[in-house]
Amino acid sequence: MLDDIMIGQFFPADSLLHRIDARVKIIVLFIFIMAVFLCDTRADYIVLILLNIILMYISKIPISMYLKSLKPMLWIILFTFIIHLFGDAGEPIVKLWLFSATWNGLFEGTFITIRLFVLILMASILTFTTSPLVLTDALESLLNPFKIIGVPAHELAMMMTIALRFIPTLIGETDKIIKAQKSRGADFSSGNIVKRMSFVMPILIPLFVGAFRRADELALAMEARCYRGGQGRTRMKEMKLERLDFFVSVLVIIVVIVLIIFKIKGI
Amino acid sequence: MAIEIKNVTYTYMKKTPYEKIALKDVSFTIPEKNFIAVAGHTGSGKSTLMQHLNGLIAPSYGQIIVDGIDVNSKGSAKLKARRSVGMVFQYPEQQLFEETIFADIAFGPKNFGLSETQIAERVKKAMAFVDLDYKQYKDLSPFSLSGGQMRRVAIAGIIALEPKYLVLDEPTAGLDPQAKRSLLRNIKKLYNEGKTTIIMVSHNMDDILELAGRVIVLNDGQILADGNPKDVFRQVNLLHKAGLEPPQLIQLLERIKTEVFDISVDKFNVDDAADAIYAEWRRRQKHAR
Repeated sequence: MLDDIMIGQFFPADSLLHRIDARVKIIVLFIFIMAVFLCDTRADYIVLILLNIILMYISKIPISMYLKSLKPMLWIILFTFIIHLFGDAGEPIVKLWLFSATWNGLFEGTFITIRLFVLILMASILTFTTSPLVLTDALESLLNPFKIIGVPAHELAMMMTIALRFIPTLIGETDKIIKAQKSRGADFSSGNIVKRMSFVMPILIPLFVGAFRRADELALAMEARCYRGGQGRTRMKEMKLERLDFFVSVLVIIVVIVLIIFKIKGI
Repeated sequence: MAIEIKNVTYTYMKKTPYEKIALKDVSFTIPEKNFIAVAGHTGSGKSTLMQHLNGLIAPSYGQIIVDGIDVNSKGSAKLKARRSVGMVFQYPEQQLFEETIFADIAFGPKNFGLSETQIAERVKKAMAFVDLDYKQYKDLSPFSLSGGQMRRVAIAGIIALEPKYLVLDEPTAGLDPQAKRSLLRNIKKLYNEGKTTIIMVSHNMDDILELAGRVIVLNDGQILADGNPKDVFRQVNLLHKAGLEPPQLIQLLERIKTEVFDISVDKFNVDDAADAIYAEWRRRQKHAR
């Protein structure tokens, strides 16, 4: 039950995508997300879908993992599709009581579905090929210029790193506490909802107590190693842009120009 | 009446790249009214095996039978079987949650559907068992106690269920020597009352030697040795293979044997060992003269 979570999952492999600088990857993802929202013709979408398939292929990650990342969003996507199918005006295909599905709605719905699929897959390509630690480092580096207007870049990145680090720990602890309370006769699988709810506290309270204890210990351990925030902190592995990163950037700019030409010419 | 473990195999995270076999075809029987110790290094499958005993984990293959009932069978009989096995987890103080010590210890008996007077009776008995004064402690918050006292409250929470079989997973881990001794003394007392079967996971061979009538050594999810602690601990090589340290006395005799003179390591109390060392030393003195 608890080991199906794919958020922020990272798959180590030796692919081109794994080697690109994480900052470049984030900016490219950002550009593509904007592109997805601005695109509205078939030609645009063919370019985007092809790009997506090529990226998924060169990431050397099994396609089943990408499908798994779509799973949690499936119901929302289906819901949007149905709303569009029945919600748009136009020539009806079938009539169901008050609602009618239209050709117009079918096209719109399909577009939206493809749009959402592309968005999720793009984001998955980023998280699958970038380790969470590198990702937060990259975010910190990208947020650095905003420090002038008071954005605590380092602190935000550190908070994200710690949060990600403790997800598996807390899942493990929850599992253990559930088992311990089950051994004391707590029954989560039968009885009415009120009775089942009464067993939530015996899990939540130890979990919170544990989380606070851990936070306290971690803070002490960080202080013991003289952690003073980001001020004047250097790193062992500096992020450096290399040839590959410039090459990728040029490629992305070409794709964007192509999309803009499509837009202007109205293909 | 006994717990029978029949050909139990368990695989973690089946059908993923992280698949790991924790138990491989493990079979043994725990007869009633025995004191059994389970030893093995970290990751040998001890905790996984223990969680099978009251149905918290269902085996991938095989059966766990408690007093003739399969704990993973369908129907209501399995509940009784599961409840006859009390489980004290590692660091059990982490599962405390109630506002008062009384309420926390009463949580289990209440879930088992006992009456108010029965519950109060059980809590009193359980607190006496772990040496906590009922009047003084019952209304305190368990979170105001020291680590050792919290451990005692948590163990009382299981003792109050009066399980026929009591499983303790490293009950003394992280306790100071005094708290450790008093806890082991209490466990021994419970066993001597003659109503409870005890299954204790431990890393400490000296404790096992002192308390248990039988020891099962696990290594990589398989049983490496099973028998009387004295017989098992004689096989020093076997213990090393399982990543365990022999009892301290045997370690000492072993060192004397390899570095000083030939002596039997087959001694389990200090007097015997001292006598043997002295006899051998005297013999050598005579020869030297």
